[in-house]
This record gives sequence, structure tokens and C-alpha cells, in this order.
Amino acid sequence: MPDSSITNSTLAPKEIEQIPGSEIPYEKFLDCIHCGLCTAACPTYLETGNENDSPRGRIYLMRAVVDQRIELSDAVKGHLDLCLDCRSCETACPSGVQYGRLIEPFRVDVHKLESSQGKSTQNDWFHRWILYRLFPYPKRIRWALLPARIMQFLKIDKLLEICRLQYLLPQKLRRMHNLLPRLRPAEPSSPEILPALGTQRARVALFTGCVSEGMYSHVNRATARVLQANGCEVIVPRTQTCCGAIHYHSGADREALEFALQNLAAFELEQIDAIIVNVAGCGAMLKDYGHIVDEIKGVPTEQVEQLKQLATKFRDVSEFLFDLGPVPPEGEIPIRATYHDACHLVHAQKIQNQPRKLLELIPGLTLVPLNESTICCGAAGSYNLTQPEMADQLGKRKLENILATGAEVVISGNVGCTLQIDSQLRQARKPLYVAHPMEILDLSYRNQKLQM
Amino acid sequence: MVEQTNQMMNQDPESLEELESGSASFSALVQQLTLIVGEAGILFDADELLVYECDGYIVDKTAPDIVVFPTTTAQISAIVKRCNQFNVPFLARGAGTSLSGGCLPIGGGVMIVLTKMKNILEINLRDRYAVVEPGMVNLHLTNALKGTGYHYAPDPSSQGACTIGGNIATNSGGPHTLKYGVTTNHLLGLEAVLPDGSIIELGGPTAEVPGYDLHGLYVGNEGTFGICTKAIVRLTRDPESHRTMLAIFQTIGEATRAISEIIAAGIIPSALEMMDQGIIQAVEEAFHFGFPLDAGAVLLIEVDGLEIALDEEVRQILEICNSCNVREIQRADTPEERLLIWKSRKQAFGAIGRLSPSYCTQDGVVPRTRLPEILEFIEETSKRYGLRIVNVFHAGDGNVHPILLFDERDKEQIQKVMEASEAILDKCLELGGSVTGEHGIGVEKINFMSRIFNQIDLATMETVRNIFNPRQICSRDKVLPPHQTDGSSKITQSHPTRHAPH
Amino acid sequence: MSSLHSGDLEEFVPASQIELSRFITENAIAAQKQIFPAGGRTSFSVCCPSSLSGTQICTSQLNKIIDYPVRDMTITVEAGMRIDQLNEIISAEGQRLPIDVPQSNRATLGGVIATNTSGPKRFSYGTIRDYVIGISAIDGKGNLFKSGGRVVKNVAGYDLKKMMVGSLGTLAIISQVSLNLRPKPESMCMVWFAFDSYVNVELALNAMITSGTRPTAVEYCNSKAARQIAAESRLELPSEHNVICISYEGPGNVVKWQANQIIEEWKEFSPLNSQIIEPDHATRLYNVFTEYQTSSDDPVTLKAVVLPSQMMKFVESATQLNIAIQAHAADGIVFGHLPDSASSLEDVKQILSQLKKSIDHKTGYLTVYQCESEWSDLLPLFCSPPPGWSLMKQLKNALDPNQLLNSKRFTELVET
Ligand SMILES: Cc1cc2nc3c(=O)[nH]c(=O)nc-3n(C[C@H](O)[C@H](O)[C@H](O)COP(=O)(O)OP(=O)(O)OC[C@H]3O[C@@H](n4cnc5c(N)ncnc54)[C@H](O)[C@@H]3O)c2cc1C
Ligand SMILES: Cc1cc2nc3c(=O)[nH]c(=O)nc-3n(C[C@H](O)[C@H](O)[C@H](O)COP(=O)(O)OP(=O)(O)OC[C@H]3O[C@@H](n4cnc5c(N)ncnc54)[C@H](O)[C@@H]3O)c2cc1C
Ligand code: SF4
Ligand code: SF4
Repeated sequence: MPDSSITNSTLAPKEIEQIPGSEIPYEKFLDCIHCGLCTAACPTYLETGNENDSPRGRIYLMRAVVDQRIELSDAVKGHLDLCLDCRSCETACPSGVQYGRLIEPFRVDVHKLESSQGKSTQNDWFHRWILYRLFPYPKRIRWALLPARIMQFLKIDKLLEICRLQYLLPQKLRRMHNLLPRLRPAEPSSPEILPALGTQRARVALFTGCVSEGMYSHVNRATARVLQANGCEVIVPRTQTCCGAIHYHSGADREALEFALQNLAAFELEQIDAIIVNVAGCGAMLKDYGHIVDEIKGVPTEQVEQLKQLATKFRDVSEFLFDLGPVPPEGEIPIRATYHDACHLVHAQKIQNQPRKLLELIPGLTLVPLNESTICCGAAGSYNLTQPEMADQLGKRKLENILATGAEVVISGNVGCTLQIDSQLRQARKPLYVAHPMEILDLSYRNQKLQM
Repeated sequence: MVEQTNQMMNQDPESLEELESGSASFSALVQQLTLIVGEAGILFDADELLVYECDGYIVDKTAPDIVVFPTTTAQISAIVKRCNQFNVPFLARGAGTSLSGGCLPIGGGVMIVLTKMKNILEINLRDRYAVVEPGMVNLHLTNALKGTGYHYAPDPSSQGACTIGGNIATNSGGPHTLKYGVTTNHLLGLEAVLPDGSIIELGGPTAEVPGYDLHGLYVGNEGTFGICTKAIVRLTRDPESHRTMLAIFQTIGEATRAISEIIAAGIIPSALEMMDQGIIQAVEEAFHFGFPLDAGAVLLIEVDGLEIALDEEVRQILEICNSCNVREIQRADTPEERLLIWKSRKQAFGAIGRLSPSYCTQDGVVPRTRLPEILEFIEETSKRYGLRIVNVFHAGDGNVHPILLFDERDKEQIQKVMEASEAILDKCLELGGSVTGEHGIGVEKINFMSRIFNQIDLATMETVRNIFNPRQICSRDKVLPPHQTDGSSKITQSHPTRHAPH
Repeated sequence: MSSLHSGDLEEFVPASQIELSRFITENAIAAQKQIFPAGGRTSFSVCCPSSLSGTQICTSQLNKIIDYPVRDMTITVEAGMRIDQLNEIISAEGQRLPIDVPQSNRATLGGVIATNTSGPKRFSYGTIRDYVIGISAIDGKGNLFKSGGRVVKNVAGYDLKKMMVGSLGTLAIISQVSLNLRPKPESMCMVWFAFDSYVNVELALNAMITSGTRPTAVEYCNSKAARQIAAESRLELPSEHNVICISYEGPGNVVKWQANQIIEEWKEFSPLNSQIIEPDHATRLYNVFTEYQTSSDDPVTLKAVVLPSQMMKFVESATQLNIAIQAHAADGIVFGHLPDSASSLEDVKQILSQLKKSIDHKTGYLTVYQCESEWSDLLPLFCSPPPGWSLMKQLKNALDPNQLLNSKRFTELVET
């Protein structure tokens, strides 16, 4: 076995394609000084205690694969697959390691390698039909949910649960079933242009997302109203599409690029101050467009530049409002709430204080600190469906921390987290309400009460 | 007499077995250990052992043959007994943040990883103690105490990751050591599995226990006195309030004089951190905090205590700084401003990363008043070897952390880094100091032991170690220099690469 | 207290640690006589039983300053230096060793370390183990070894310094010590509270854990001890009841604020009386508290170490036995002077076994702190083996294989 040689230059060129991660700039591995400060910030390591399931361990494994010290065995792949890509490790790292820029391209390579060997996970029914054909399209999601809505309305789903019939569903579908929140009737789609209330202070576009428009359209409407109340003219382009995160993270970088290009066409950058995102996961992906195009081979330079330009326009709604200087809401909302930091906000976008500061503006609302608020709830995109065991462990962990606060409402800025936490609460039969910060702010601006 | 002790230690680690993966005894041991910890609690595939070949110190590497994750003291005792039965070495690992190679499994064998034993067993505020398992992350204990008015005082810069067991083994300190002391000042008692598998308790939750202070002796053993399985720690009252200041000086001499005078005035700051010109420039280049680039030193001074006492302390500190020709003082009056000041200190890491592909941190100590001399020497060394060396460190304790910047791909520079480090540590000794204030001897500084201590000192330490660990079956060849050079098996020496500063 | 012993005792007064080391080496090779390290002999009668015969090592000449870099706030001295002498030197520089030592005009640094002596301030400042940064000592074979160094932060090698703390002259003779010093506080004051019920004392002590003040010492005494302490300090203090006396150190205004604050906080526990004792008187009172643990002419003084939360239970039973009690209440350390009526060894043993019942044997210890020298052979110092006793025996055997250092006392520590 070679010692941890510094470059992999000894490899013959034809082999390189067989080695996942070999095109990742080697300096990115060298940034890791092996100090271990990230370990206890990593949800999977907190659960297993195994260095192989820690960020430092995963970087070491990837580097060892690149250095050809080890093969990408099933065990090694298992440890890498278990990563939530929550980027908690980046927040903890003193050395500025860009972990996401290691694991993501590495995974893309692994998927490619596997599909070239005909054993890609992307080829199973679940990835093909559910993840790729359903998720990117809000209409399809809404349509697919229709039976669920009807079932919920008729309480048939409860019957299924009682009769344990849902166990007849394939396991992944069953998990999706369990994840489903109590669905609200879909809101009518919003007009393309919404005027500012009062003096106009900014002109923004709203990114509506696929899952969130499909299941949580009311959050999108609330977000728009909050922006309006803060003097923003809001544009909602109809031609926008999914951010492409699910595809990119499961190795389908071509599809992801197509979504990015479609979004490029949808937003008229010169005419807006920012594109507002209210889903942390999408926000992180959209802000990363600039990095991602660098990793996808063969994108024309002009498009690369344009996508980099596009990437700089995205703002999370809390981040944007905080910087703009929020108009204080006046309606009283007397609740005890706690705030869960969505990974893709706190770690990927470094947004932690802004939502809290906004919520603290609401008269009557008490914000109780949540222990381990920055540890992933186990949702992590489609992780919940692909790594059920770990997702459940982390969900339980989050649930315990939430219940310990004694709060009635859990607030979080990400659809995935909302689904996961809500599902945990329902399974434990706890009557807590899970909300997006904009929902609560909107109620306060409109002087309405929260219906739990 | 010395010969007599020598004899004792000659029942050397030589006699221990080296496990051969796939051999009959290897399989038998794996099977036995699996019976103890279950299949989910053991690793023995080479692929999965690789990450255990080093800790925060990455110059020397060798992987263990087996890794186990016990969950109870009884399991650890059983594991240790099996190791004795099979005559293979073993050692403990916490979070693996050691900077001296404390977790290097010399001679292979079994690594006992304590990360699954991380529960708080008891918190007793009335009697001011907590009982925790050894794998508990230091910061998690303090987090669990939030709102009680108490905390666990030792706060190594690695506190977000390192474990209490590791802290005990290395007697960890931190930025608040000056006022609050190190781990040994806060450990009341412990439970340990000795290298023969027996379970002992030392000390206890009471303020003192009659007889020899064995738990005190245990602290700082660097993993060579068996496996610590439970710790009883003292809880400390939270300070009511803080004041934080940043003082910019023209020269290091003036900054050092200010430190001495602050302390002489009866004020013990809770933190006194210094950044020298090199690091100021680095931080400035990277983050633009607005520090003057020609400043000789920046001091971060923090005092804590009762609110009503602090303003007067601050006034005195300002007066002293002024009398030491301070150029500029920034005060933090709100928590936000305090965070900003600390940020400049903490960002130093990131800044270094931008300056150089590799770096290596040393851990020397000198008497506080000799700081100007050692810093001057470091500067000379930097010139002599043509290496950039910057300093950011715990000035109040005289604990310097010179950071040597280099490019690990350049063999010549690596050699220079080794030589320069050694020269600096030798100078620390010459100035009446030590070669390690908090990282430990481990394997890294083992050659210095015979420069610090004479034959008799070392023989006495060996006598004491032999009471706990006569055959060196537990973490062999650490702390004390081995007698025979047996070309210690299977270790890959690479070279210093990036080495965490703090 | 008598330091005269019967038996066949020689004295050796080494002038340097090298000379001492040579002496012990020769003794180990040839004569193999018992060796008794002696400092100020303030607790010699109990620490080295009376029937000894052998050589007393008098450390009185080992009293030099080796190095005092004032601005580093560390000092290295020989171990025979008297505490008063040490205090005088460092006090001149505005520094101190924050350890309370009774009879400090006689007690030596080596003796303080060997007996792990401490007083009221241990609550806030810890004990001598927290201030020793380097040590040199000579083991039973004559090996002069050192551990630590002269800097405040140092983790090179095993911490043999700790091993010497509380070793009662049975492991090695301490010859030289480096200490970490602290600045002297600006001022101090004490607050004297009298309570008529144990319940209120316990409630007040319990409230101490969240008090807005930061006391340096929290002393309790029962009325029998309170009367003696009040009389000794020549202050008018109510002493017919339970007393808690708290001390504060620091700048004048901060000390004063805290004194008023604690009186305010403790109103809800209905003290019969609360009184602030101003700095000049407070120093005198504080010294009486420091000396009280050794000041008695009574036949036996006991020391109990219990959890603070369990302390009042022990105090109650001891008070019923007419024992005068002083306690470092926040640490759960209790000193009890037995009444004159306990005049025979039988009486003492009776009381000991009675008191043991009110101690949880898992988290509490009862020890004999001082006794008439003719009894010291017959009373075990530690009434029960402490945790790690078997390792302690191994340590003793390893450092003193010929059993020459005060060995009888060691074997008698636990066995009667
Ligand atoms: C960025 C960074 C900053 C640091 N800052 C500081 C600092 O400010 N102060 C400081 O003192 N140190 C510091 N360190 C060093 C290190 O974090 C400490 O030594 C820490 O106490 C090690 O804890 P660990 O759990 O990681 O132990 P490990 O690294 O796992 O082990 C360290 C040693 O302890 C032994 N050990 C671990 N657990 C046990 C156990 N249960 N029983 C017996 N032996 C055991 C191991 O065998 C090994 O010898 C720093 C390290 C890094 C990387
Ligand atoms: C069990 C016990 C009983 C006590 N009784 C009293 C008392 O009656 N009166 C009182 O004032 N204080 C007493 N103290 C407190 C304490 O002993 C003294 O205050 C003082 O600290 C002892 O110092 P010394 O120099 O007088 O020691 P000494 O009385 O001379 O010796 C005390 C013990 O320490 C050992 N010793 C002394 N010097 C050294 C050395 N250099 N190296 C190694 N060992 C050494 C002796 O062998 C002896 O065992 C007692 C303490 C304990 C633990
Ligand atoms: S914190 Fe950063 S540098 Fe340290 S081990 Fe983790 S990734 Fe590497
Ligand atoms: S991204 Fe999250 S799960 Fe993955 S290594 Fe980092 S902290 Fe762990």
C-alpha cells in the first residue's frame, strides 16, 4: 500500500476515470488538517460514534480512494452514503474545508461509475418514477397527492393505518405515506405580479419550488404577502422550475444543469433586486449553481458566466428581510415556539440569527432555545427515503429535543424538515404545530390568530 | 537502584503478540470480542480501520487490527481481559483530537473507542459535581448545564469535539486556564479498568479522600494507566458578566509588560490571548478587521466576575495598557461586540489556511516574563530557516503556539520545519519552560523527555507506570522513551503536514 | 502539643537535598533504619506514632529560596521553609499562597503538602495540590526525583506531584517545591449569621448554590464551637445557636455589596441575627477559624469528609454527642473536637463507631485528625480503607521497597 502520497500523479490516465473523485482539486482534500473538530457536529457520527461516519473520516476515505490506498468497497460506500450532506461539518471546521465540494462531486462520480457498470441506484423504480418523474413537478405532486387528499378527507388513511394496510405498500412508498402531512387544500395559483404595500422598497422575484408549491402552497402565498407588507413588489415567473437539487445530489448532473438553464431563462435578472427563496434546500442549491457548473464538464463558458451571475441573485427570505430592515408586525401571536435550524440554512447558507430576529419581532411570541438546534432532523432531501434507519434515529433525537422545550409550535425554514418533524410528531401523537417562519409572520402582519 | 527499576521494565512490550490479519488467533480474538460488543460494535476490515491510523497528529501512522465500541465498563473489562489472554496490546481512543499521537496503536492490537459511552450519569448541583461517561464531549456537558448557573470549566479549544476521557488522559487546558485551572483541578474522582482488566475507583464526589491522591496521579497519563470509564468532575459557578477588550501594542515587549502588570494589580483575567505581527498581517490580509499592519502585538483581554466589580477592573486595565504605550484599545460593551472581538482571534485559523498549504503548530511554555525572548528567538529562527512563522497563543500562561508555515510537497522545507521546531522547543527549555503545555508528550515529543528529566526522574516515572501498566500492554511506547530501539513495527512516518493551530 | 517521642530516635539535619539523598541511599543499603521526615512537627504526634525508633529527618535547614521570579508569580523554595517565612517573602510583593495553614509559624511547606492541609478558603481557591507546579523528593531508596517544572502550565511526564500530596511522609521526602502564586486581595469582610434550627441552616446552605454573591469561604459551627470562636476572636458575637460565617474578598465596594446582598438573600431563612464584620476585625476572626481545627486541648479531634448535602445530618449526630463542630460547609469538611468526657480509648472508639453510622460509607470518610500521642498507635488514622487502597499499597512498596519511610504509620492507616 502506498503511503498517503500527496498527489495521485502516479496513476495511468485511463485508470483515472475508474477512480471516483480523481478530478476533485487535490487541494480541497489538503485543506483538511485532520483536527477532528467537525466530528461532534456530524449527526451520523453522533449516532454511531464511528470515525468512518464522521466528516474527517469520510474525507479520509475519499482521499484514500483517490490515492488508491483502498477500493471503494461496499463498506466504504456505505459510510459515504450515510452522509446527509447537511454540511454541519463546514460550520464547525476551522480550516475552511468545503466538504460539500468534496462529497457532492465524489457522489456524482460514484453514480456515473455505477451506471456505467449497470448497477446504478438511479435505475431502480423508485429513483426513476418517484424521485425523477414526480418530484420536480409541483403539478404532478399535487395530482399524485390527490388520492391522498381524498383519503385524508374521507379518513380512509386512518382506516388504513388502523388495519395496518399501509404495510402492504412497498417500503419506500410507505415511508412517503408516513411523511405526508395533513394536507391543506391547494391554494389558487398566485398572479404573476403582486404590488408592494406602502412605499415600494424593492422589486423581487419569488422562487416557488416544486415540493413546496405542491404541498405547501400556502407558505408561498404567505411569503409573498410578507414581502408585500415589507414594501416589495413580487414577481412570480410562471416558467421557473425545480432547482434540480434532488437530481444533482443523486448524481444526475445533466438533468440538474437543464433545470438551471430553464431557471436562467425564467428570471429577468436586470429587473429585480433579488430572487427570494423560502425553502432552505432549494436556496442552498440555487446559490451553488456557480460552483456546480464548474464541476459539470462541457458547459459553454458563456452559460457558466450567466449561471454564476444568476447564483448571486438568490436570497433566503429571512436573510433578505433582515437586511432590508423589516417593518415590525403588530398582530399579537401569544405562543411558545422553538426554532429548528434547517441544515441548508444554517450550514449551507450560514443563516442562523436572521429568522430568530424576525420572529422575535412578533408581539406575544416567546422563542425557547432548542438543544442541538443545528443538528440535522434526518430529512436531508430524499435521505429519509434512502437511509430510513438513520433518518428515524435522527428524527427521534430531534423529537426528544423539541419535546424538552415545552413549545407548542416548531418553526423551521425548510419543507423537508417540516415534513420530517411533523411526521415524527404525529407518530408520537404530539399535538405540536410545525410552521414556516413566514406563515407566522404573515399572520401577525394580517393580525390573525394561529389555528393549530 | 536504577538497575533494579530497569529490570522491572524489561519485561517489555517485546513479548506482546502482533496480530496477523486472517490468522487463527486473529479470528479467535475477533470472535471473542464480537461476543462481548456484538457485531455492530466491532470493526476489523482493513478498509474501515484506515481512519483509525492517526489522530490530530498525522506524522506517524499505523492502523489497529481491531476496533471495538464498548458501551459499559463491564464490556471494557472483558475486552481488556481478552487482550491479556491473547497477549495483544490495546489502547483507548476518545475523539482522536490528540495533537501528539496519543492514539497511535503502536504494535497494532485492539483500539477501544469510547464514543458510545457518552451519557451523563448524574448532575448534582447541591454538591457541585457531575458524573459522566468518558466519551462525553466536553462541550456537551456544559450545554447540558445551561440554565443551571454552572458549567464545566476546562475548555480546550477543541472542546466542541474532544471527550472528557481524552481530557483526563492529557490534562487538557484552554483559554480560561489562567483563571480557572486545567482538568486536574476539576476532577474529583474516576473509575477505570486497569490494564489487567480489573475495575478500580479512585477519589470520589467528596471534596477529598484520605490517602494518596491517585486520581490526581492518574490525570495526564496519556492513556497508559488503563481505560478511564467514568469521571466525577467539579462544576463551576458561571460568571455573572464579562468585559472584553482588544489592545494594540507597538511591540511585544510592551504587550508582555502590560500582561504582567495587569496580573500584578490583582486582576486575573479569564483570558489573555496574544497575536503577533505575523498573524495580525495574515488576519488582515484575509478578513480586513482594520488592524494596523505595523502593530507588534494585539492582546485580547477578557475579565469576568460580578457585574459590579468589572468596570473598575476595566478601568485599571486601560490605565495599565496606557502606561505600557498601548496604541489603541477597542472595548466590547455588548455581546455582539464581544463576539466580533473573539471572531478576529478565532478567524486566525482560516487566515493561516489561506497563507500556506501546510502548517505545523508547536506547544512550548516559558515563564510569562520570558515571552519577549522566546518570540524574538522564534523570529530569528524564522529568518535563519527562511520559514514564515506566526504566533497566536495563550499569553497569560506563557504557552506559545508558534505556527510554522510551509509546503508539504517540498521535502527540503519539511526538514527545515522539523529542525526549526526542535530549536524553538529547546529554547523554551533553556528559558526555564517546557516542551508541552497542553498537547502532551505522546509519541511526538518522546525524544525530549530525556532532555527535560534525568535518568532517575524517568526511572521513577517508570516505576509508577509499572504499578498500573507493568507490561505496557496498554498504549505502549508513549510518554516515556523506550529502552531498546526495536524499529517500532509497522509505523509509516510521513512528514508534518497541516497541524491544527488554536 | 508534644513533639517529644519515646523510643530510640536520632535526628539528622540535612543542609541540602543532595546530602539528604546520600544519607537515605546509605541508610537503604546499610542500616535500614526507619526514617521519619519532620517539618514543623505540628501534627507529628499523629502522623508519626509515638513508639518510633529510627532517624528523624529534620528539614529545618532546607529553607532556602531557590528562585523567585516575582513577575512570573511563581516561587521555588526548599520544602523545610516555614509557612510564615514563605508568606512574608511573597507578601512583600503583594502575592500570596491562598492556603490556610494553622500554626503557620511552625508548619513547613513540606508538611503542608504531606498532610494536604487546608482551611476555609479551599472552597474558592482549592488546596495545595492546585498550587504545586514542580516538586523534588527523595524516595525510600535515596533516589532524588523531580516532576513538573517552574512554569504554570506543563504536561510533560506523569504528575508525580499529586502523588506526594497527602502522602504523610510515607512515600518520599519532599525536598524542593515550585509554587504558583496569586495576587493578594484588596480587602475582605465576613458576615456572621445565627440560626436556631438545623433546617434553616440547611436551607440557607442550599440557597448558596445560586446566590448572587461569590463567597471565598462558608464556615459552619455549632454553638459549642461558636462560643469558643467568638471568645477567641474577642468579638461580641451571638453564639448560642448554629452559626454560618461567610467571607468575601476583593475590592472594598465589591466585598461590601456582597455582604449586604447575602443578608438580603438569606432573610427568608429567618436568621436570628446577621452581622457584617468589617475588615480589621474580620481578619482576626478569619484567623480564629483557620486555627480552630488544631486549637483544642481536647484529647481527640476528628475530621469527616462528606457530601455537603449530607453534612447537617452528620453535624446533628455529632452535636448530640457533645462534640464541638466547625465545618467548611460548602465543601462538606467537618472538624469535631471530642469532649473531655471522652477520656479513655474505649470512649473514643465508641464515639467513632457511633458517628460512622451517620456517614454514608460510600461517599463519606471519618478520620482521626489529632490525638494524644500514646493513642496514635491504637487509632487508625483512616477509619476505613479509601478507594484505591490496594494501588496505594503497591505504590508504597514500589517507592519504598524496604519499608523505611514512616512505614508503621502507613500500615496502621486503616488496620487497627
Ligand atoms: C484544533 C485543536 C485544538 C486543541 N486545543 C487544545 C487546547 O486548547 N488545550 C488542550 O489541552 N488540548 C488541545 N487540543 C488537544 C486535544 O484536543 C486534547 O488533548 C483532548 O483532551 C483530547 O481529547 P480526545 O477525546 O480527542 O482524546 P484522543 O485524542 O482520542 O486521545 C488522547 C489521549 O487520551 C487517551 N484516552 C482517550 N480517552 C481515554 C480514556 N477514556 N481512558 C484512557 N485514556 C484515554 C488516548 O489513548 C490518547 O492517548 C487541541 C486539539 C485540536 C485538534
Ligand atoms: C492527620 C492530620 C493531623 C493533623 N494534626 C494537626 C495538629 O495536631 N496540629 C496542627 O497544627 N495541624 C495539624 N494538621 C495540619 C497540618 O499537619 C499542619 O498544619 C502542617 O501543615 C503540618 O506541617 P508540619 O511542617 O508541622 O509537619 P509535621 O507535623 O512535621 O509532619 C506532618 C507529616 O508530614 C510529613 N512530612 C513533614 N515534612 C515532610 C517532607 N518534607 N517530606 C515528606 N513528608 C513530610 C511527616 O512525616 C508527617 O507525617 C494535621 C493534618 C493531618 C492530615
Ligand atoms: S474540522 Fe475541518 S480540518 Fe478539521 S478534520 Fe474536520 S474537515 Fe478536517
Ligand atoms: S455533511 Fe453532515 S452528515 Fe455529512 S459528514 Fe458533514 S456533518 Fe456529517
